[in-house]
Amino acid sequence: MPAVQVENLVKTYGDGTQAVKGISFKVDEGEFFGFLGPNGAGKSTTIKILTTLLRKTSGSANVAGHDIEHDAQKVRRLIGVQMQDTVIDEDLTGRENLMLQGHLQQMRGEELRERVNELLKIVDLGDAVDKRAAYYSGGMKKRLDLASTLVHRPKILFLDEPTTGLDPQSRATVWSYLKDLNQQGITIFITTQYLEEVDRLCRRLAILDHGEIVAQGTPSELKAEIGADRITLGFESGNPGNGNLKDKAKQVLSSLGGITEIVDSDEGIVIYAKNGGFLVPDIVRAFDTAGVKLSSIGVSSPTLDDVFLKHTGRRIRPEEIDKSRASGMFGRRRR
Amino acid sequence: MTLASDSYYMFLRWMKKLVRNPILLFFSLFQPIIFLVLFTQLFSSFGSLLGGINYTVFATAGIVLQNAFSSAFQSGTAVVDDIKSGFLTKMLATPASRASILLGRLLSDAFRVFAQSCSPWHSLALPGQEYHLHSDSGLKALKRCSE
Repeated sequence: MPAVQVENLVKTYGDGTQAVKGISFKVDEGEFFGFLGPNGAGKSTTIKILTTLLRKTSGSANVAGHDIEHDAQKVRRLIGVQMQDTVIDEDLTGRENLMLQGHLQQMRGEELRERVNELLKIVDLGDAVDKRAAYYSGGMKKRLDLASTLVHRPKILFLDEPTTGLDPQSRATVWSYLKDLNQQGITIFITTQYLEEVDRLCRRLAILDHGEIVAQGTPSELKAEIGADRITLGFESGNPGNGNLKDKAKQVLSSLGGITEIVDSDEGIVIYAKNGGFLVPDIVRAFDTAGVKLSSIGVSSPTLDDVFLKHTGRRIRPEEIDKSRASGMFGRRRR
Repeated sequence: MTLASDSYYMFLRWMKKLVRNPILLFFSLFQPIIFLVLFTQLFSSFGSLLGGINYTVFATAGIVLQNAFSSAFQSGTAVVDDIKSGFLTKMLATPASRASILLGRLLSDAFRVFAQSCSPWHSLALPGQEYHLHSDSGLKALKRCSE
């Protein structure tokens, strides 16, 4: 039985915007599934629908074997949800936060107390467990938030950009928790902007753009699909932008063989070519003849970043997320 | 009964939050008294304009009503805060009874307003005033105003 099964899921908002345009995918039990896409691709909308926080327009979706609309209560008992922002009650202590979450998940008495103690040990809050969460550091708050989604031993964990805005150390801690959880058999469904971690941890991923799934598979499959090395060209006179320089550069490149794709990027121009290393002397020579000065040239094997760029035409930039984030479910909607 | 138990845990949450914010607690408990003292001292001569009724009695009714409105306002603000912080989303993602989210807050407000109304300060005689708090004095004053 798949942990998440989505078929032709559509979400149209009241103002007529189609945030999700009939997507279908499946997440197997115990999988670490990455759900990627540029800002506004429809990731958050999909997560909200799957976690019963938003009504779908049409299509069908099953989570943990239950229909998200008809059996919403059953779904809620089996999932843990962590949204973008760290959400804890800062007037309550760490322990009280977990107890409240347990109570809302209908856990009671000794069972709940034991579970809370167990989690408090794992998230390593030290003496602070009985202090108000307002005094916690950012990393501690995040760990507490994560723990609060685990009180009821969920089978599937939905995480919407859980590490955005954290310092690198806290980020690494969160990822290692997630890895442990996944090894314990919890299915993880995650959206994130950190592609290196996705590459390392996600067994499978889907890329969403403009409400549609544009690519889906294991990280190595997707990278192999590109089948070419990546050559980055930087220009002495700066970013070629849309001007003459770009046209000229493209003209120069078109005279060379073996190039599969030319993509514009912020740093300059990115070329995908088989056996890219051998092409470098030709490129340098061609530009030299044309009188265009190169400031840098780099060759690398494809990364998830390239996969992302190829399918969405955009690059993920984690630092930009903070600015465009919406607050709360009724806040500015991200599509 | 999930509605009852969920509401109880929500109620506990709000009571803890209230007790842990001394400023909020101070204002919610003493603001009516401050208003009562302030207004009765400032405007006590207005009584004669109102057809000779005791101004304190008149103001008490007003402050009781003001309490009711401001509590309703605070309830709403608290819900808005939960929406903004995402806590509401978090609660909605659990199987907790939806009604309990509001009910818990309302219960805690009701409790607070009850405490305010019973506050012993209200029954203290204020200096220079003939001040007797009868259960129907506020109503009488209201009635007289509407005539």
